[in-house]
Amino acid sequence: MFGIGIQLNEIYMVAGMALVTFGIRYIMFPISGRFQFPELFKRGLRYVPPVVLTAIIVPSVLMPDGETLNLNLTNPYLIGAIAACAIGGLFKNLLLTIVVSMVIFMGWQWAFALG
Amino acid sequence: MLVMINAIIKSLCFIQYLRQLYFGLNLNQHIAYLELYIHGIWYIDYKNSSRFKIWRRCYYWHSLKLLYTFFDHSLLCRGFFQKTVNDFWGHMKDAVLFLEYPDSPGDFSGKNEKAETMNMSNTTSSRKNSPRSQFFAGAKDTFPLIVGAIPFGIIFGTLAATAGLSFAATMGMSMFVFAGSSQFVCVSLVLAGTAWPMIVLTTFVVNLRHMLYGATMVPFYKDLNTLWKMVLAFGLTDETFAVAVTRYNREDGLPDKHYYNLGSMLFMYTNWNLCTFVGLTAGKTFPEMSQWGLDFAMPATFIGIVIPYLVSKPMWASVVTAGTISIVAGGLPHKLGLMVAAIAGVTVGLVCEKMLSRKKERV
Repeated sequence: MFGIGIQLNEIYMVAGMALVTFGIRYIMFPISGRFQFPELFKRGLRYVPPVVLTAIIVPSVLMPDGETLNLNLTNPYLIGAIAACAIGGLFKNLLLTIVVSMVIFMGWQWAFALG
Repeated sequence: MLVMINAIIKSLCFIQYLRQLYFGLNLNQHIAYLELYIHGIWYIDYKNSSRFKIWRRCYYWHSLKLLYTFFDHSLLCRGFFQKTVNDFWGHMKDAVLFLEYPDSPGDFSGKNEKAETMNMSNTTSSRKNSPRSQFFAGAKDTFPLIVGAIPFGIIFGTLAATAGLSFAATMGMSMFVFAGSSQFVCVSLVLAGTAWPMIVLTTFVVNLRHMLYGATMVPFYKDLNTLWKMVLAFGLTDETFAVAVTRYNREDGLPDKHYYNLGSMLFMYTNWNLCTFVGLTAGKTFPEMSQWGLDFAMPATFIGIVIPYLVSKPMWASVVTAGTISIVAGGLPHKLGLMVAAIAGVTVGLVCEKMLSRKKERV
């Protein structure tokens, strides 16, 4: 069922990601004591995860086709995202947020696929 | 759900029970043990102690047990079932305490005369400091985070399969990269047809926070050899870091904490790879899964991750900026819009933070 059909650029990609990730996690051990992070850099790093994730979410939700802005209420991604924000804000429960917003998304998609 | 929890607890009890049998426990000890449990002496004893947090959890088990006994009585099964249940629950105490607080040999019974006379804890005290028990304690403490990681792993596998990544590349990523969020980001970039150097660069930015984890761990790993450092650094995910750093910061002067870290890391690693495989298999078996709306799983997951961060004004500012810029700069080639948005967001966050602190100084 599975071919081992890995492409050359996929090998580069995985190897590059692995090296970069391991490098980031390991680098501090050999150079410790010789180098101190600037305070600003440390504080900046805290913003990285939410900012990067937001920068991925927003276009994928507002521009589902990748080109045009779709702010209609018939856009299931938009409705699903609003639902996810509401549930996440209210209950602070990751699993609940994912499951409920996905159900809403699918329901919306299905409803407007019929109409 | 309750039935499942019950079954898990019961099997845990049973394992502990068998272990106790193996180490030898006579009938009197059984009864004393049981009594101790039923009256909740240990709970009262520790109610005012600083370790109450842990004990509160034990108290929770205790209440569960009472509830269970109540049901058992009402069902008129006082005979065999009652005894079995009591045995199980009696040993649950030890099981729970052993798991909750593996590094304090006999701590829970030490303050208790009954337990001391029984000398129960002697059999376990030597095991509690061993590398092996540290290893399993690490794995056990990671469990709640594993539960959260399971859907991630499965969704990742499914998405990767439907995004057109090959089987080997997906598994390879989970095996060698082992960084959940960047793997998700990678899938979304592959879906958009991004070139690999750009994906690697994005991975770098997304994972940059791990450098802080490394910096935090430097003093804790300083006595380990290079191989250990490399292995532990490889597994320094958000989850393992959170669990391990808590353990390292608990000052009890015990060695072998790196085994705790290793246990946490290997559990996380195995789970992540298994879940990726399951998701991948599901995605390949049902290719029409891509139409089920799983592509929304990623935004939904990310929203769920971002929301807990939104507790301060600078954070809000940076996230809103990033969102706006990502739309405006969406047309840039090679998905550079993402990088631009990220840098802009972080900058705005820092500037906002600075402005707020200045305002405070003035007031």
